[in-house]
Amino acid sequence: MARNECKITIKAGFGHAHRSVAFLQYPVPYVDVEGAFDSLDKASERFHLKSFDMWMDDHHRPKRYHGWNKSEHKGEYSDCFVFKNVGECERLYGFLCHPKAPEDPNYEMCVLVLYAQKKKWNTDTAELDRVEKMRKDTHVQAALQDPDLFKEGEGEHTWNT
Amino acid sequence: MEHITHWTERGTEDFFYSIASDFIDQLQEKMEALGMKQSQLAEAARVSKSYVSKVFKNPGNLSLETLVKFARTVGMKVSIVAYEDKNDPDNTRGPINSDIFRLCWERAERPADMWAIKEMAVARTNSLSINHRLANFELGWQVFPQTNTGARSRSTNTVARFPSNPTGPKMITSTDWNATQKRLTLEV
Repeated sequence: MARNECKITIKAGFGHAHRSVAFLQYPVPYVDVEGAFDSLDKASERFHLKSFDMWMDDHHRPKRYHGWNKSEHKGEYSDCFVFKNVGECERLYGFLCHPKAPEDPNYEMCVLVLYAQKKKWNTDTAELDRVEKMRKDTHVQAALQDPDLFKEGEGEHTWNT
Repeated sequence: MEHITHWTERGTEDFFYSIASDFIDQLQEKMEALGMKQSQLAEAARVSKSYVSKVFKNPGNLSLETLVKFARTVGMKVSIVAYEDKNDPDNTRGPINSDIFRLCWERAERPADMWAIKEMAVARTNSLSINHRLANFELGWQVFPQTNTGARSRSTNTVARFPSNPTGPKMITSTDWNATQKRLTLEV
């Protein structure tokens, strides 16, 4: 697989000292977060962007986003994370990582992988399994180490002025 | 030229959505604490259920009048705070979440007016003076522990008098001050 087929782009928090949210691009059908996000209506898009802001600023909003702790699902998904828009039954699944370690081990990035429409309350582990697969993927790991990841000009937070 | 900035910089609607969304989050939190449903809020605020549902889904549709109406319905007040964000003049991080302002106000013991702010400032100054006086006393006790000139331990609850010092008053260095402050904190 060509390296540029696996790409991680910072969507929110470019320049944030503690956290950022990024989208994964990968040539498998279920990695669809970027396309799905781009096709959201304005209200849903704003809802998620607001949630990204809140998470990055460390507000506690379990109705908007949460992870899974080690006591759930035998700890298999403790690196997974979800942003939810309950009103629209939307979920953005991804994983948490520390791409600036070891220099800045506390810096956290949420790499979003897939979009799902979900009407059931309980977690569908099939989606989390896919996220986990991506998290462990060597190309994804390499993309997280790419020095261009934090280069200015990347990401959707670039607007023409 | 491309310029990295925040999504709320795309336009006023985005900025408004962000701050209205903060309000809806605070409102929802309060409603949960009260055990209030959206339909009950609609009834109490005399608006339709569909309107409540609509603005909860898309806070960008809120009017200032409705915002006040909802807040009063759940026993809250609303203030509009304009501020200059000197740390982020280009708005690369979006507006400060209203929870930050609320928490700061609550931690400052909810001052209601400028009198309360002034009283807080005076109290802070007095407390500093007392600390300075205590620090001076401690230093005096250390410098002249064996002299019998009237300075006594604070535990005796008497007014401390400084021992006379023929070489003139001792200047408190920052190291002295920090060390004394630390010791006082530990003692307290």
